[in-house]
Formats: sequence, C-alpha cells, structure tokens
Amino acid sequence: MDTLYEIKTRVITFIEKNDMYVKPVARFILLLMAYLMVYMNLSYFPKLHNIFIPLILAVACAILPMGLSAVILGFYIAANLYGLGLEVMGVFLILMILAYLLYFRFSRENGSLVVLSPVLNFIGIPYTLPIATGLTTTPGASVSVLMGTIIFYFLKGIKANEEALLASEDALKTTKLHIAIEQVLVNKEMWLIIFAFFFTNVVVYVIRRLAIKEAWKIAIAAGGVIQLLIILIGKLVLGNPYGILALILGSIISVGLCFVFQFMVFDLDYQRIERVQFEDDNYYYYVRAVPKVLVAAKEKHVKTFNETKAKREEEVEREIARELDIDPKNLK
Amino acid sequence: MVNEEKVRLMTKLAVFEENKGKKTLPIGDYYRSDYISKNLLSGFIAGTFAYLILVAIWALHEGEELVQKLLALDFGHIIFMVIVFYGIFMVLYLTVCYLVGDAKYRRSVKSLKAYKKALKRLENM
Repeated sequence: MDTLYEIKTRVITFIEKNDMYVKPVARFILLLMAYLMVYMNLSYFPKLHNIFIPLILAVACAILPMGLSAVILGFYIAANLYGLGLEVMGVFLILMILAYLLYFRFSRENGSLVVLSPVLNFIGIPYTLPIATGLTTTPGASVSVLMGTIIFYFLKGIKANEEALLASEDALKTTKLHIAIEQVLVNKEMWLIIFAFFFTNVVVYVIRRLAIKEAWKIAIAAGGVIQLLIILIGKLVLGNPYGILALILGSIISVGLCFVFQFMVFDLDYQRIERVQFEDDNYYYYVRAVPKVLVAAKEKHVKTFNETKAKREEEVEREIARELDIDPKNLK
Repeated sequence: MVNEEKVRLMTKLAVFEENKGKKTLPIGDYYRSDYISKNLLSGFIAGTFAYLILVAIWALHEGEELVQKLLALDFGHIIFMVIVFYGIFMVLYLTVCYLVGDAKYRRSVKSLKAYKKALKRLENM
C-alpha cells in the first residue's frame, strides 16, 4: 500500500510541477483519439480524407478551451457527414444546436465530457463515466455525458446504415432524413443506456455524500452493479441479447478504473500552480503560488455520535484557521 | 519592505479574480430578482427555439402520416397537442432555469461577501 501512496504522491507532484503542459497534452491525446475515430469510421467526404487534417485540428484544439474544441470537433464530424447527404449533416447540426440551447447555456465547463463520452463508448468502457462524474460533480454534469452518448449512438446508427444512405439517390431525400432522425428518436438501446447512465449517476452521487465509512468505495460498487443490472435487464426486455459479454467485461473494467480514479482523486483538493500579477502603491508583484503537495493521503474519519457538536467544533477550528491564515487541516 | 501578509492576501484575491471571480463578480452587479428574470427570459427564448426544432424534427419524421392527418381535418387537434406539450416543456425547462439561476446567484453572493471582506482587510493593512 505504501508504494501505491508513493506512486500517487509522485504523480500528483509531477502534475503540479508541470501543470502548464499536462493539461494541453491530456487534451491533445483525448482530441486526437476523437478525431482519429471520426477519420477512420466516418470519412464520407473525400476532400477531408487526409490524415493531416485531424492531426492539425487536434494540435490546434489542445490549446483552446474544451467547449470550443468540442464545437470544432462537431463541425468536423458534420463536414464528414455531408458526404452522406445534406440531410444527415443537417440532423447532426440540429442535435448540436439542441445540446447548446438546452444545456450548454448553463454550464460550459463540461465540454471534455461530451468528447470523452463517445470516445469511451467506442473503446467499450463508457460505464466509467456515470460513476466517475457521480463521484466528482453534481448530477447536472452527467447531462454532458448523456449528450456525448446520444452523439455516439447517432453516429453508430449512421455508420450501420451507411449503405442505405449512400445508395439512396437525390430523389429519396426523405428516406435519408428519415433514417437520420430515426437514429435518435427510435433508438431504444440508446434510451436504455441514457436512463441507466443517469440513474447510476444519481445513485453514486447520493451514496458518496452519505456520512458513512468508505462512502466512495460503496458508491462505486453500488453504481457498477446497478448500471450493469439495468442495462442487462433492459437488453433482455428489448430482445437484444447481443454484446452481453462485452457489457459485463466493460463494466468490470470500468469499475476497476473507477477505483483507481477514486484512489488518485479522493481527498485531493485539486489545486494548481497559479501565476498572478498585481500591484499596490509601491510595488509590482509577479507571484507564482505553488500549492503544498499532499504527502500522505489523509484518512476520512466520520464521527456520528454527536453530529452537531462535531460540526460546531469543526466550525470553530475553521474560524481559528481563517484568523491565523493557515490550513485548517494543520490544526487536527 | 514588502509586507508578506499583504502579498499573501493580495495573491489570494488575484487567484480568485483570475478563476472563480471571472464568473462570480459580474453576477454581483445584479439584484437577485433581476438576475433570475434575465435567466428566465433568455431561457424562454432558448426553450421556445429548442421546442420548435423538436416539433420540426417530429413533423419531418412523421412526414406522410402527418399530412394525412392534416388532410383528415384533424388540424385543430394537432395544434392543440403541440401547444399543450409546449406548455409542459416550458414549465419544466423554466423551472430548471430558475433553479440554476438561483443556485448560481446564491453561490456568487457567498463568495462575493468573502471577497469584499478580504478587500476591506487589505485596505486596513
């Protein structure tokens, strides 16, 4: 266990030291995967079939905010879908507009989840995301995971129907439109997954906030089992028993990944090196504020025998810490 | 002489302004009711637009059937249903808009209070 903690500390130190590079590189890797997926599977527009286009776009988007990168990726997909017909591209763009109108007006921070969700769906471990977002954010953020899932299933359906779409001539524009819309409206499996993901997310969120020992671990396990059961039963009810082995394997791997994620993130208040500039009457200040690195993971102790008293004590401690301008954790 | 404590406080303020403050500080310019009304108004426009798109998709999908229904003079019924669903959709959507706006405003007021307190402390230094 000690070596694990050591590795954790090293990783955290590394990330904090190289904060300036880690984020763009991580973004680049994620975007590159997404672009290559599109390039390999959805290259319907011959003029865009050039490996340098996804490469350049991935590099460029790595330094842009994630929300904007997701929009650019969306346009890249739309342009590729144009090769199948204006109608297919139109439906995809409408999906993007709906996503913006109904969700991204409120929260623009979760662009990475919209990209990550189809990528993980493609790899076969999308079951990680509802649990991981339940652990770290509020259920509202899961909406972006769901939107990514809708986009994935739409593209998957388009891919499955590519022959019909390519075969239908201009005279059958309505057929193309019909096929494209059908991928979203009548895709029962997609709605099943969406329901399972949302429900799992809420369950994980509720459990991990309970004041019980090992709340996070219980949340992950419960989330994993509930998710698997909903999808499994749903698949059987829908009469689509294919891919059950992949589902079970994917779920197990996802839960494992979530435990790793929990180990790395739990009780880690993500702080980064801040570079700020300001001035007062006498000086200009160029400050680099470096967060104190956590050396050993702190155990979470939950005392429930007298909650109000414990809360009051904690408040007093925090008050003192604020007055002294020190970390409240140092008082314990 | 550089006043260390002052630098510490100013750094914290600058970090806040750079990150959280970018979103929080502008919200502080509004009264609560104004902020939420603004959210509801933009939500109304966005929601209506989104609903129109959804109806258009549905109409395109139904295609011929819809034309037949319209021909069968079921026009009034269809319009009625579209309006009823519009009402339900908007009530749900605007409730979400209200809750999100309220939560955002409350959160920002909280951090604004702390921010102003720190500014005052800095002033007295």
